[in-house]
Amino acid sequence: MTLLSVKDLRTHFFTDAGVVKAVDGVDFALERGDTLGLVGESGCGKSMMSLSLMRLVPDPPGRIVSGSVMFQLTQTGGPVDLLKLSEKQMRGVRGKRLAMVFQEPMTSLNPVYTIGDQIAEAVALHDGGSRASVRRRVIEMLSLVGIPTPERRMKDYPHQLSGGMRQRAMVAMALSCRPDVLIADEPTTALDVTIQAQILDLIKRLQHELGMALILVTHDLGVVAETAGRVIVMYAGRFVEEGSVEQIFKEPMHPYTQGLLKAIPPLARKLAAERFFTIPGSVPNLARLPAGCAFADRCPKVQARCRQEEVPADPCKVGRLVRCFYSGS
Amino acid sequence: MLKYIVKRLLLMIPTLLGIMIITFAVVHLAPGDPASLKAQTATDMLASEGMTREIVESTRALYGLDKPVHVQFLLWAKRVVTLDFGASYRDHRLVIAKIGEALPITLTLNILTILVIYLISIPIGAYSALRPRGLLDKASAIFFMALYSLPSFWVAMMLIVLVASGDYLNIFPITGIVSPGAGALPWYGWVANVGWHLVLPVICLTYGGFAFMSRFTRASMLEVIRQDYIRTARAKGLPEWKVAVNHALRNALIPLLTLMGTLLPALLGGSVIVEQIFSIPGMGRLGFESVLARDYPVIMAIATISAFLTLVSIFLSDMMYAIVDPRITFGKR
Amino acid sequence: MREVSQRYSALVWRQFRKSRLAVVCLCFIVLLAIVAIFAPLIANDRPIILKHEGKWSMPALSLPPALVGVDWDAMERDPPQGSWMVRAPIRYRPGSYDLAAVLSPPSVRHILGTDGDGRDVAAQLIWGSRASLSVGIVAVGIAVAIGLALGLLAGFYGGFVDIVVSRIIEVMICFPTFFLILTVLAFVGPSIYNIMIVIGVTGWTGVARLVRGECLKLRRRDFVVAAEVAGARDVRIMWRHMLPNAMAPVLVSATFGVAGAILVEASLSFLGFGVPPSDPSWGSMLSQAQQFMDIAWWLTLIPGFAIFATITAYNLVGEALRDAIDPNLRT
Repeated sequence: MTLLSVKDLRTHFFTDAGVVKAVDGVDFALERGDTLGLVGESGCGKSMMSLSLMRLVPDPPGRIVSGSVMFQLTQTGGPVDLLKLSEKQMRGVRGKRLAMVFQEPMTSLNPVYTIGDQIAEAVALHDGGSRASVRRRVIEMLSLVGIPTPERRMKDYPHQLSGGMRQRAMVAMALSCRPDVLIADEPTTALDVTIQAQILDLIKRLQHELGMALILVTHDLGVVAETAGRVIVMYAGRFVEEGSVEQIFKEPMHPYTQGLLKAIPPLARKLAAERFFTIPGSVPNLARLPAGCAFADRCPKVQARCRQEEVPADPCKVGRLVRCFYSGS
Repeated sequence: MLKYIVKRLLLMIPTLLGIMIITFAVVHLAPGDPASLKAQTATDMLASEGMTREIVESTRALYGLDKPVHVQFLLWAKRVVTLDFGASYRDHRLVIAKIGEALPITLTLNILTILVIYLISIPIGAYSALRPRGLLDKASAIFFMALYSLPSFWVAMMLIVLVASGDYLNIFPITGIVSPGAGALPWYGWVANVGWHLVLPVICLTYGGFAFMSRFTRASMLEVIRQDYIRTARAKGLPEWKVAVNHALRNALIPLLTLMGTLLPALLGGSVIVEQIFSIPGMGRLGFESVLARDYPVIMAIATISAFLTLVSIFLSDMMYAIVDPRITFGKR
Repeated sequence: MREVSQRYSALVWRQFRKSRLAVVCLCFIVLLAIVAIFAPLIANDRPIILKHEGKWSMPALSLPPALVGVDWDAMERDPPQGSWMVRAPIRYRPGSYDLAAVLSPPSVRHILGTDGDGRDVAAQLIWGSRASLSVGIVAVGIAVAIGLALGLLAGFYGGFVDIVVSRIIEVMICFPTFFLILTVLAFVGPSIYNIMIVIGVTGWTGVARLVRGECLKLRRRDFVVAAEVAGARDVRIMWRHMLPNAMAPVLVSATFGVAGAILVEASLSFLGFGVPPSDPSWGSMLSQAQQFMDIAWWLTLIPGFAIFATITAYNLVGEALRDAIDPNLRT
């Protein structure tokens, strides 16, 4: 049963410098238990995409201008468009059905409350219960995420924990109400490499244990390769390619994806012999997107048509979507 | 935490020393030493020759004016520590007694003032931050700015003319803090009477502070609202008011508490004029009258004690900061 | 996107101009300065320009001994042969007593009324602006100079120097400033110069802390370290590299400081510790107005409003300047 179905989501920012189209037409579907990797470089709109799903886009100056986010809110009823819910109803969804883990655990946790209090706040809000039962749940969550001696640790303040611990606490807080979907926005970017692996393992393990769907937003292709089942590649606010992990990595079809994969420094070959590959040019100004394909200026396969026409999403194979006229290996 | 307290206390010592040195220096740089000035006053009062000489000598001995300066200072410092500020030139009462009468009044006035300022400014400032450039924000900014620019003595005069004298309304008293005969009232009546007397002075002392405090709250709140943990709080599904109060305001208030310590000296200064106009027997009026009368012992005592109290309040507000901000109380493990 | 790089001051000025209120206040301040500078030409019973008995003179600025005691009103009504005069818009000086019109409300003859001694309120107001403005600006100049010096020293050298300077700042903050000013003025006597100096010497702590904070932040910045490595002398680093960065907030602080100094001067004059009562000052005007509060509303309202307007103008300009500097508020 499709848990989450996003169609043509557009989030624009209305600034004095022009309209910044942070998210400009993204579609995807998520089943229960899926792991979706959302990949793209900084500024491509992937974080804004995840915020849009939660309707946490800062309202001046940003706004979700069109699209729908159909979510299976109840067991029996049909899917509901999250974008059409009232704010009060949406608050019931946030934290309870859709949860989010952010990139910087140090700044994402309130420095003046203990982590126990912050987790308890979420539990008390959505599931209620006596202070004892809330406290029990907090301890349960903390040990679930692998924090030792949770009864003591829950009285710690965020600055007293290490980076990895903090992120675990964030995960505990996000999962405390057993959401259906966890959105992890660059959860490991701010952490050391060894801790990264731990946190990713943790998230994957919990996903299986709790039967959640996971949307993993990252710029790190390595993380995607390890964790995701399906992958969406984003560029300049639009998605450019979608497929399973194997398909994307073995047979990238969009020139941008191909460029990204080529840019991963090779270890097998002698490093001294070759220069690192980089995609020439830089991301276009999201306030002044060119007509046609946004990648045109940097694409090795560009033709005149690319700059003139809007490129539609092309389901070239089963389970694949590419936004390119000239896709192919 | 203990380390922090000790460190702060140690840093206070040189400041205290500096305060005492400056007070001592300012008074002793005055033209004419206290002894001959006192003799001058005595002569003005047509004292006899013998008494004049006696006064000069006893003053000299009292202040050790025949000894070198640093010895004088140490002697004075020693007496200050025991709260012995000598006797007033004007009425020969113990200085410490006069201050003991005046200080509680000024403290009451100032504490009330701080409370009122905070109670009004914080909600307005916080709400302005939540709806920046909205109606309340703009209106309060302009209104408070206008208030801030009003000279306190002018406001006092206008208030007296409008609500406290015979011409228009006459609902507030203009002198003192208590009506004669109020001692006969039961305690709550007495409190009400004092309160009634304090309304106008407190108004004069508070209105100027709204501008600064509300802007400061607003700025602090704006800073806090941009933080990531506010986004996290929303992502948990918390209602907006809880986000604003429990998460944003709680953090925004921390720097506000440290301000309390620095508000005090400003208030002690402002109350000179207000106390003078409303004839309130507080430290401000005592200080002013002492300056007029060149009553050195009282002047020195007021300067030292006020400075010391300010130092203490700065220290207290730092302590409060440490208590409310767990990042300082609990160091890194 | 604007590609042209601009000088910082031009950028700040552009932002400042966007607030119409601030620009109006700035104009008011400039107008006030003009009034203060040209007071003798604006409110004076002596004519500005006089041609008398073939000689030209400017009696408003310097009175030729031969013309002492002349009744200028009479001369204007009935000019002698060959003389010509241009008179000031307000035909009174603070020292001219019109005993026929004591305590008169605003009228055609005396636009803003007269006080208990028959002196024209408008003339006093105009001449009084000199005291307020000069005290404001000079006092702030002194305060900024001291504050900059100490702040730069503390911020640049850090360590022990910083501790010492911070203690000094703390000591200054602890003292009840107004009381201290009263005390010092009681000793040295209230003259306008003493007032300027005392207000300046007691008011530098804000600037010092500001500058110290900025310098401490800048100390480790690359361009400062680069200058050090290049062998620049300490003073040069402080002057050329740190000072310009701290100037903007200092300017804001100075603007508010002028407002504050004007208020202090008015308060001092009100209490009788300001400029000598014979010299016009807005504060002393209010002090004298106290006894006539019931019967002469204009004596209370007008000088008070003048103080209020001036302080407001400076405060609003300060606020606008502060917003203009803030990079977050750039539009």
